[in-house]
Amino acid sequence: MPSKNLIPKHERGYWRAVIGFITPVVIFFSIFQIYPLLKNVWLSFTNINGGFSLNSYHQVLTSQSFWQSTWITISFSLISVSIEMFIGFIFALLLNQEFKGRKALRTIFLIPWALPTAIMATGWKFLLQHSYGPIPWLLYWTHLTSAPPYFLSTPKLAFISIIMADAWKTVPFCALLLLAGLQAIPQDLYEAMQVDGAGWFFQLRKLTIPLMIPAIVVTLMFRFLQAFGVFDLIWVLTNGGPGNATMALSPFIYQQTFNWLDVRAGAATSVMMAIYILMIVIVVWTTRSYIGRRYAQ
Amino acid sequence: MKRRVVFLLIVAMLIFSGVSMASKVSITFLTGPDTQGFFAKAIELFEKANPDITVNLIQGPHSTNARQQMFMTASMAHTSPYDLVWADIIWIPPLAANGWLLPIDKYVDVSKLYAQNFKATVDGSIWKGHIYRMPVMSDAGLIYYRKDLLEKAGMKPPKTFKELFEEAQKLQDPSKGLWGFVYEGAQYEGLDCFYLEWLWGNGGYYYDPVTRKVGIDSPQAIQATQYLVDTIHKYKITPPDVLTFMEEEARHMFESGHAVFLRNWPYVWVLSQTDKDSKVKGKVGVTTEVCAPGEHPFATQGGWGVSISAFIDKSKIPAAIKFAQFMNSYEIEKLMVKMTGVDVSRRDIYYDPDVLKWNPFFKDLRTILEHTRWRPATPLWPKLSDIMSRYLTMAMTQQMTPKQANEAMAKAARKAVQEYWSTH
Repeated sequence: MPSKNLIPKHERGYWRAVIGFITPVVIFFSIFQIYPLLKNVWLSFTNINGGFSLNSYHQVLTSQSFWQSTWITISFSLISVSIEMFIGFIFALLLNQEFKGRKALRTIFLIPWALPTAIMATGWKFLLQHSYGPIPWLLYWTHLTSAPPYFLSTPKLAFISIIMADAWKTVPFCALLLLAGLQAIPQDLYEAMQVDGAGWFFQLRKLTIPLMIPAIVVTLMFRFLQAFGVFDLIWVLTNGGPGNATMALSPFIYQQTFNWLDVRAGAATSVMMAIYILMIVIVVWTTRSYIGRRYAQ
Repeated sequence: MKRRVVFLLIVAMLIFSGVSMASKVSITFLTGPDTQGFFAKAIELFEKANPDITVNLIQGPHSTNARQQMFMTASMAHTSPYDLVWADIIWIPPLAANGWLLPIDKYVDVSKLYAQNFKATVDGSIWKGHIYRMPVMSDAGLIYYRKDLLEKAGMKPPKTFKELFEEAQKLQDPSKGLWGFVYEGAQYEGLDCFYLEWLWGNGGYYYDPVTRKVGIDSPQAIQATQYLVDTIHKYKITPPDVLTFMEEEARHMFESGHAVFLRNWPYVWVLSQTDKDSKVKGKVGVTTEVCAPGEHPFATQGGWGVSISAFIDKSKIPAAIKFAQFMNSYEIEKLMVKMTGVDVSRRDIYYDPDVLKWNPFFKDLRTILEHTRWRPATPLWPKLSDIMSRYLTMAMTQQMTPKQANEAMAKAARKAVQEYWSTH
């Protein structure tokens, strides 16, 4: 077994080694992460002549599109994450059972998550096409709708489409994270409960879920923040349309900065988005101890 | 020590051999999909006449917005992966205002260009007194119609909105898959080009770059939007599918015999007569756009040309200029008409006997192309165009009434104009 330290602290070359290993990462990080972030914030607070100005923030906060994008982003994140957690949990429970071909099924199950989002979104675009896509036709053929629906050109249906596509892609991810949490629960606890005469649902409520709280919270945080920043799925599937029906915050920032060349407004919007995320993180952080206490029995 | 010397010698040899290979100039050219092989053929002829220049054709996506985005993103990084770009007339103000195009004043004779090409195509290549594009194509929106169906019913091609709606309603049969009127209705630049023709034809306007006034909330403008919405929801002459159509989808629908009327660009003519699976050979007529009674019909001025990136390697500029001028020459523009049937920018081509044999309606185009109307020439156009197509889509999907849509358009446009001019 190798020693804990490659170079023990009292050796002569210790600090040189530390600096040598860390410097490339620090340089890379500063150039590609820190500098753009600071420049972005700086851009949002200046006007075209270089002076300090809150114009960009005024422009963004008084624009109806910004608040519409905020609303779309929040509702998209809440709805899609709830669906994904719920379905993911069911799948995790199923995959936790012993049955033949379980390992193979788990691998196939991950394929939607492994597909690049842009490709997957293009595929969904074809599936939902009105003229030759199978999904509208199927809905019409099974008489679930009176006519093949126009998914991508109707605002409400376009919103449902992005949630569907996101759920299809991410349920495997949630299921796998929750499965890891499930497998950490020792079997004998279940057996003990069964001996005491507890039914399946009672076991679920009193044993599984409380012990999975850490896994659930981690998955929830991950997924919510990912969904909040969704870009490629929406851009490829609906391009924010029809109208502004699916224009979440990230596509909106892209549109402002790259389509409209309004770089300062884009910078201000992205700072606002960072503020939203900060608020969410603060809320979750301060309530996690409360949730933990409620379930600790 | 000896090994180091050998190593350095090898590196030096490689560098020198690389330098000598660079005596052949290589430039890149970004266009849309070269479906008819015209660009490939033009490049072949150019390289034969100029053996020391290689032109690499980069075929981008079909959507004009997407290609504009590709060029803009590269320019923002001050790079030139696309030395030459097939540029739409409406790209020139935003690209030139940002300094992303090379002004070619000292290489071309502008007065000669005006003498040989349609005025609007040269006007559109100029921004703030400098010329940034060699015009190659003109373009104007037209209405195509099924000559056979109209003649059978004893109808003349429509001149007003009402006539179009009535004739389309009478001749269509959606149950058999024949719709009255199709157009490019997706949420992009093409929808704006079409809508503007109806807006202007009804006496309205969107934005005047000279007075900086926005006029899209006038009653005439709202009426134009109402006509657009009515094609889908009131007269039902247009399938709701049209909201996903760009030019090609609309053309396919007309060519496969599923539409009576089509609004599109002149390039459709040749394809409808020569495509293998076109079902409308010999059955197509062309006319100007419809308008309100007593108004002029308007066609949106379009048209493409060759622009050069401002960040092109200085040594490549002579080669790029040569290629741009080559594309504007008589032979190449005639070849373009032969292979793609599009309306080119040189006036003399429209009197060439071969051209008139291939496309008899080029005779009518002579006058149409002298009387087209511009989209507002302003660097703000990407944002204004986006605002327009977004709210039009909301009206067409009945999320808003035409009055609400136009008023929202006006509000957003005025805000954009005011914000732009207060900081520039």
